[in-house]
Amino acid sequence: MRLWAVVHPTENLQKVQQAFVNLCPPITCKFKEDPEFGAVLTGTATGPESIATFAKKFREQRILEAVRQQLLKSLQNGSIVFGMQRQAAYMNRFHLCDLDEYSAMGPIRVEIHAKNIQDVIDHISPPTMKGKPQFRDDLQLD
Amino acid sequence: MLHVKKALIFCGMPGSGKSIGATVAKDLGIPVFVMGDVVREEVTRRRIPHNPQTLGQVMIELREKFGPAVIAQRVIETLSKVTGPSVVIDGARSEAEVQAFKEAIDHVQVVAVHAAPKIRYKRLRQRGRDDDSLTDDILFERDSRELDIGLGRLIAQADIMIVNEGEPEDLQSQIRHILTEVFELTQ
Repeated sequence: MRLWAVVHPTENLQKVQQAFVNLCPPITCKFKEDPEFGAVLTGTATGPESIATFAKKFREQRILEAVRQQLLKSLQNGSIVFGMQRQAAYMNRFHLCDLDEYSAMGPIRVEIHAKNIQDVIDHISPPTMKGKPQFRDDLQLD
Repeated sequence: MLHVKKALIFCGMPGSGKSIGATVAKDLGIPVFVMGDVVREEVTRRRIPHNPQTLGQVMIELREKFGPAVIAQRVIETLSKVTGPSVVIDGARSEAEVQAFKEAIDHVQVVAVHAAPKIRYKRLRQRGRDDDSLTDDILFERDSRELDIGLGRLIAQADIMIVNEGEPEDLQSQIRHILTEVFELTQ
């Protein structure tokens, strides 16, 4: 899993880092100057535990079906890409947003690559039936 | 018999920001039909993986088999479930498609959203995957494919032109203004 966000001059880098950690603990963060985007923070995490927080939070917040639609739409070549609201993430709330959305400092871009990306989607946001998530126990999350 | 009397069709090159039109329309409660969804559904139906190549391929195949307006026709088939008089269509690519909408709906206007390639490519890289697949050359080729289908003519012939090279908030308020005016919404 890779996180990516532009750090604006008026922004506190530690807060963006905190948002990254909230989304995906533990995560390795790196700060760099990008020729096109300026200051950029990236984060990398691997293994099934990297998506555990997403799965838990989306379930708690009861937004599985909306998340699922969004993730399925971004599915491409074994990976998914979506935006998370950065201020919400800093407050440990998980809100998906459009990657085109520039308001409130723009999104944190989340990229997930996996051998079996469909299983990852089913884990993060299982299909629901009458509001109840339908879990599968044969998922491959590498 | 369609209830829909008025349609605004948004078009623009990749990364121009045309989909913000759809977002604003949804906020105002106007039903939105995304033409790309027709292709996505077809790809899902065929049980093949979703990626730019397969989507492009299926789009071309559909056009070859059913004619250049096929995607518009499929959208028109679903318009019958709209009960209000107004709709927004996102992502027309050719005059043939707009012509099909004009035959089905009384009042149709085309809104083109435009931005210079440099700005669009930066936007596309910002929302794309963090790999080397989105170089200027690759994005230029993608532009060329869109232009080959006829998107350039459509943009040149648009009824309303918006240049989106500034802040997204500006674009949102411009679009809100256009939608309010065209659909005679009360603010």
